[in-house]
Amino acid sequence: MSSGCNGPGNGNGSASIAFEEVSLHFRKYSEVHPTFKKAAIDALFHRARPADKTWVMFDRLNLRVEHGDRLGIIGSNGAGKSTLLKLISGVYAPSSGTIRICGRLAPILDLGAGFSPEMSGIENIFLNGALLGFSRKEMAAKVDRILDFAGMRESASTPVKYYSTGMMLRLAFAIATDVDPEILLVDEVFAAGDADFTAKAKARMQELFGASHIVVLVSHDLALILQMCNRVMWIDHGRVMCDGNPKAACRAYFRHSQGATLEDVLTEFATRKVPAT
Amino acid sequence: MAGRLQTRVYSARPEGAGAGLLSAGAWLGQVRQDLADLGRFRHVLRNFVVTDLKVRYQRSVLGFLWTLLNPILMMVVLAVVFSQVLRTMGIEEYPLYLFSGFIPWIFFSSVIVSGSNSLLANEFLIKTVQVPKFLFPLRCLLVGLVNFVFEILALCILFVCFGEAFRVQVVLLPAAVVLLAVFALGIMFITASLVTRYRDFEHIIGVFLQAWYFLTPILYPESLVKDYAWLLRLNPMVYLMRIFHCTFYHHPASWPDPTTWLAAVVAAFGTLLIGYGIYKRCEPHYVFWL
Repeated sequence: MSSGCNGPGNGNGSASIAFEEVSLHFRKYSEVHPTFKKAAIDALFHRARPADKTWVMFDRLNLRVEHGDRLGIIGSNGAGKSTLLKLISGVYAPSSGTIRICGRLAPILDLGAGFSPEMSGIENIFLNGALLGFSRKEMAAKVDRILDFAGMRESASTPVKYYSTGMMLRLAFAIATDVDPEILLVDEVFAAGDADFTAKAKARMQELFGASHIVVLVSHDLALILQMCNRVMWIDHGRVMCDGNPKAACRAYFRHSQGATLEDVLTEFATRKVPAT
Repeated sequence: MAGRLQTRVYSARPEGAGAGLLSAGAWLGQVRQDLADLGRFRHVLRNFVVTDLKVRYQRSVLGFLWTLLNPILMMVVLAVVFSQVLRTMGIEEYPLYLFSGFIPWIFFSSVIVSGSNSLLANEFLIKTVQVPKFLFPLRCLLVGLVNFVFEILALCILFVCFGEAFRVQVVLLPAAVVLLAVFALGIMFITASLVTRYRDFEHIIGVFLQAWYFLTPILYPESLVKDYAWLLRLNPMVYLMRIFHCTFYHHPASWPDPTTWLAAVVAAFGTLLIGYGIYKRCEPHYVFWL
């Protein structure tokens, strides 16, 4: 599947994300856990099954993220922020439409997803590295750096199940961020570990943000979004409400959450591109 | 940053009946895509398998010995009991007959059980990381295969200790193992999809395997079945078992006949093809079923 990175307005070697008419339907199953017993009995007696309800998360969404974009995504819980990241990272396949990604993805989403509790820290570094697409050889070059950053040289050979939550997060963060990203996907993961580590983590993130061609950041922390992003998208129930100027978009979202009507904030966003702070 | 950027395209698969599955071009494209994914994720697969083996054998010093001793002790029990029962049936060297069929069956059934649950067991990973789903059944198959090979080796040592001589038919062993593994992978694709969709299917698998076990000439010789011989002919496992029986058991020593080979190959690869087709249809939905 090498259709190349030569879509419209896309030179050689510039990262981009393009959503073309992307829809995502979740099926809300009528039973929480459909059972074979029930399906068989229903089929046997020609009993009509209650139709699975479809629930539209995204409906023909179009989106382009270009080289240099630091896109912040805001919105209330269940708006589809994390789902959007999972579409980009390929966890969810779109129900219709096409997503084109140019550039190496570095997802910093659910830290420690691939950890195997019985295995040691070192072995988990290799396992997680493999999931991120690195060979054993490439990871061997990184192991020392990762252990140093996580500050856990002594416990490197201890099985991960004996780690504290903080240690686990530190290790996962160190692995996930020891990358050379082109497209960085971040789902708020800043508060990991003690104050000392948090400062280190923030510095590392800043460094990554600078080095990446594209950053997509999901967060509830508007201050962080304003500090890090040059483009902000507010989504609500899968619909893009605002997309553009960070201050204007954050303001619209904030005012709406304070009770201002949708029409008001949207006209405000449309007319006052750069509001006074 | 020099060099071409990696490109990925995700697009929706055609909804409804497998219109795409019927055209050979679409098939080949999917197979090629999956093989490319296998290449891309080979480090993940290797890590999975190594992890599983280590966990299995590390936990206790005797861990490795136990996994070998377990089936062997079980076979000894069966051999003692059934050689009494079957004495009248006139089967010579019953333990040898039993061993050559029982070990492959244990491999088959244990791999089906673990493979069927492999997607559920890795729910968290599937929901958070983009990873080809076939890695999980494949991982169970490979771990089972390593175990299987060790068991066969242990068995060979046992044979030598009992003063058995190997016949030339033992060279069939690799082919028999490959055919059984291909067959098992096909079944795993089907059962893993069913278990992921219908959680209670897990319980049916146990019963199903038990029935299959008794319907296959493992404990008893094929010649014992008179009334329901047609049932054996419909059972693909019978052909695979015949090849396994030829490798170690030699009363009389013989090579599998062409019909057996043909049936075994068709059954193994046909099942894999069907299983793969079902897997491809379900693949985009797994993440929503979990």
